This record gives sequence, C-alpha cells and structure tokens, in this order.
Amino acid sequence: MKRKQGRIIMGTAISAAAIAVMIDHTRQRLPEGKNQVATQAAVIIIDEGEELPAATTGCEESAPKGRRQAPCSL
Amino acid sequence: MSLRNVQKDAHAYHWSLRLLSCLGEMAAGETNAALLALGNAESIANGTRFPDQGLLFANERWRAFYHCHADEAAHPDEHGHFHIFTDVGDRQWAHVAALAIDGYGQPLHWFTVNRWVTGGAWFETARFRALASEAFDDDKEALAGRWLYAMLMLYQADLLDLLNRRDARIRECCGSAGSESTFDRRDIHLLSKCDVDLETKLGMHVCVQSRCS
Repeated sequence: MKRKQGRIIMGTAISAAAIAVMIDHTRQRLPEGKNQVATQAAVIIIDEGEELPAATTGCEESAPKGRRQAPCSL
Repeated sequence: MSLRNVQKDAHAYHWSLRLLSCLGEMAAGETNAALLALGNAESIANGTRFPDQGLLFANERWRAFYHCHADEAAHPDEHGHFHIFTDVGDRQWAHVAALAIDGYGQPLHWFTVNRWVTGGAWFETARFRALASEAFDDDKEALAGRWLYAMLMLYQADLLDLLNRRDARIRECCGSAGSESTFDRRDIHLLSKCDVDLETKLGMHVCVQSRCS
C-alpha cells in the first residue's frame, strides 16, 4: 500500500521569481582587488636535498608580522 | 512525519525568511554583504581585512572578516571570502568556515581550511549543533552580520557535513601521526568544500509549502 506522508504546511509563500528578483538586486559589482591575480608564477630553484618551500595561501603578502604564522587569523 | 523533521523544516523555514528579510533590505539599498563589509573601499589591497577589527554579530558570539588574495585553489569567479569564527570561551576564537564570494557579492561556496591558515583554537564539530540551537535573533545588529548569521543557520546541515568532511580529511592525512602535526602541515590548506545555490535553497524552503511522497 502506498504510504502518503504529508509535510507541514507553513504560512508565507514567496514565489521563486520574487526570490530571483530580490537576489538579482543584490548583485552589485565589488571594487577590484589589487594584485588579486598573480601575473607570473615565481620560478624557485631548489638544490638537491633542499626542502621544498611551504605552500602559501596568498594572505601572507600583506599580513602584519604577528599574523604571518596564521595568515588568515583574526 | 517525525518531530525531528518538523523541527528541521521549521528551522529552515524560519532562517529562510530571516535571510529573505536581509536580502530585501540589501536589494532596496542595492548592496550585498561583501559591499557592506568593504565599506567605502574603492580598491582592495591583497589580504587586507574588512572591517579591520572584524564584524561582530549574533550577540558578539560570532566574528567575521572579508578579504581577497590570490589562491590557486580558489574558484575562478571568486573575488574574496569571509572567514567566520565563533567564540569558544577563554577569549579564544575558532574558525568555523569560510564563505567564498563572487565579483558581484554572491556566495559561491563554503569551505574549511587547515588550522595553520587561521590559527586560534580548533573548532570541535560537536559544538556546532549546540551553537546552532542557541540561535540568536536581533534586528538591531548590522545587516551584514544578520545576513552571515542567517546563512550559517540556513546552511546548518550542510555546514555540519562540511565540518565532518573536514575532520575526515584531517584523519586521512594524519595517518599514524597525531592530528596536531597535521594542523601545521603547510602542504594541506583546503580541507572541505560545499557549493552554495541560494536561490534554490530558499526556493526549497519557502516556495514549496506542501509535498506528498
């Protein structure tokens, strides 16, 4: 026997179109980030036996010294 | 229908409406959360945080900042992201998740990062459900903060899954070594990711009011 399961019916219904319009009005261009895209990857020459450099997140470049250990910390 | 499902539906419905209310205010002002966080900045230096001291919200239990920086792993449309932290006591903040934003201020995806990236205390996933059940609601808070909080609450289940996948990735990486050593491994940055489709999410909870299966 097919079991029917009703879901709770709640008040206010907003059309999908209204949501789309609302979201669309919040689509506003953000100011450009400076140096957001690296123009050229750096070439790092590593001698045999030397350790590979640590990966970076990109946060480090402008972070104050205290924050460099955890580049995206509060 | 179980009580748990009713509660989940009610939670999602409530936070969808809260988010829609924020979006309505933003739409009227032709703005978005990223623009509000950026203030009057005309250009953004790599890594600079907005606002400088972070944005406190939800009764100062949560804190976030927005910034942009080059990142090979980032979405091609990403402009920047919010890093979101919660107060875990003893004046400590723990990073819960980050929310990537496109060039038009729209959310792209949630993601988690390794501890060396954000520092501070490691956020214990078990705390998330408790934090979400202490849901705080206050119209007097800043609009960007209210939007972020409504996003956190609406995506509660997704964020729980995101954090569980983050923990699984840490376990996978640490092998026989403890997780403490993995937290500092610079070769491990991004831990988990979850796409955001706000229109579909809101439509799912607010437009479809009754279903039968």
